Amino acid sequence: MHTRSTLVAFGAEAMIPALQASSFFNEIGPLVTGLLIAGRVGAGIGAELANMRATEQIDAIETLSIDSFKFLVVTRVVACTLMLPLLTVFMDFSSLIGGYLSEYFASGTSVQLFVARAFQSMQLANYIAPTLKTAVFGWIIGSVSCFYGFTINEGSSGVRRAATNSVVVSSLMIIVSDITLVKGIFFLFPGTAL
Amino acid sequence: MNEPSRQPDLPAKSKDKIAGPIATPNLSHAETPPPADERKDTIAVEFKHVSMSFGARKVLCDISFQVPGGQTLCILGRSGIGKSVTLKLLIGLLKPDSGEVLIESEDISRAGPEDLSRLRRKIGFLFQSGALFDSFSVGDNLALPLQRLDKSKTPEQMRRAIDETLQEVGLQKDKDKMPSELSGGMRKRAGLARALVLNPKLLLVDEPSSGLDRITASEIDSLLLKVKTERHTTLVIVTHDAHGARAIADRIAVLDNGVLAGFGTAAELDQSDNPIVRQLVSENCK
Repeated sequence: MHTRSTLVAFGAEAMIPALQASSFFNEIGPLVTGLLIAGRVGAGIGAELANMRATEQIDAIETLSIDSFKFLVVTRVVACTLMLPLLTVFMDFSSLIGGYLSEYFASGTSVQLFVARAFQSMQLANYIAPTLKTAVFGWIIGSVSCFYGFTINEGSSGVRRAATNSVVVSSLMIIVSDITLVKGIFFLFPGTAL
Repeated sequence: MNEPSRQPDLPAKSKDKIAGPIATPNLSHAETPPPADERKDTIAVEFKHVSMSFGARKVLCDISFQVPGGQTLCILGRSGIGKSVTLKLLIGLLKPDSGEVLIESEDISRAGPEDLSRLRRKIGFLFQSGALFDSFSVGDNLALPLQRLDKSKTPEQMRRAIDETLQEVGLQKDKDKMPSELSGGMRKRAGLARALVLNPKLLLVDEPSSGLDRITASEIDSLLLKVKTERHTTLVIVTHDAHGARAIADRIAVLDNGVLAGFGTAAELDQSDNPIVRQLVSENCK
């Protein structure tokens, strides 16, 4: 909303859809999705595994000759890695729909015009790298949360600590890795730097 | 810390009579009476000079004993004395600082991943809390080991095995319930069913009566007795419940201060010179 009033003041109202699409698909969508999933899923994985450790469920898996690392950790890390790009696409389009509704109520822009302006200056390739980088975020969330959940063995206080550490460390690592990955994407695909 | 004691506190006469679990290597297996069935011919479990410590705290000091196949050993002792550690050593969840933990003559403490997995398939473990998987129903808790470890069974055979095992522990109507819907006694029985579903040769049981009323504890004891008599499974049970131990065990081991303070039948331990042993095996002590 703040950006809109600034662009209107400079007579650049027509750029609003393109700016929204670019910011949602390149940065806001991937980063917000990563942070949301770190909070929601990361905390859940950390707490669940720490609870399983505290209640001897992980020991029970080991006694059944099942590799608890493969059974509990690998599956969660793979799931996070694969699902985060899909959730990011969902988040990107949900954000764009919200952006359109905001624009519609402010200026009455039609859907066709909004979509045409939103995607006129962007190629499909511009969206692929930022979306795929969230696979790294997913890997971070899965690995960090599983690490804390699997290794902390302190009863109920351990569950709380595992959940908190999973969210905090995952979120920080996502932000740091995002900066690194954006730099890497600009280096490897100079055309994506809008 | 007391000096390591490998010698059980038994009356001289009773040492000669020991049949079944043997407290020390000095008491040879030849002294056991003729076996009633084939499993009793073999030593199912053997601790050889096992020591274990956590940091500076020595939990087990030079412990040695044997359990012949098909027999039941109950381990009694005060809290925090190393009883559950003994069970975790038996299934390879912990490694001893020194000594050997033999399961059917194979040292589980030095087994590689494949051997460890193979040895664990012979062993069932009933945890103190049941340790049921929260996100699985009772039936799925039993299905997991079957699906993972017994791929020869068809889905129908697995379903039948699950139903039969649940019927054995009296939970046939609770197959679809989640662990959170079960009482403490039901959780123990479901945990027992999961431990039995693969028909293990050795069943390790951690505190079967803890947190249960006397009647429910007796029901669990009866189930364990049934496992012993009908399946001829070797049982190693850690308990505080002297009453239950006397009902189930062929031999009782008493741990105190990291050493084997007593080892023998309940009657033998009643005559022990060690007051702690006498107190722990007393019917009135729970």
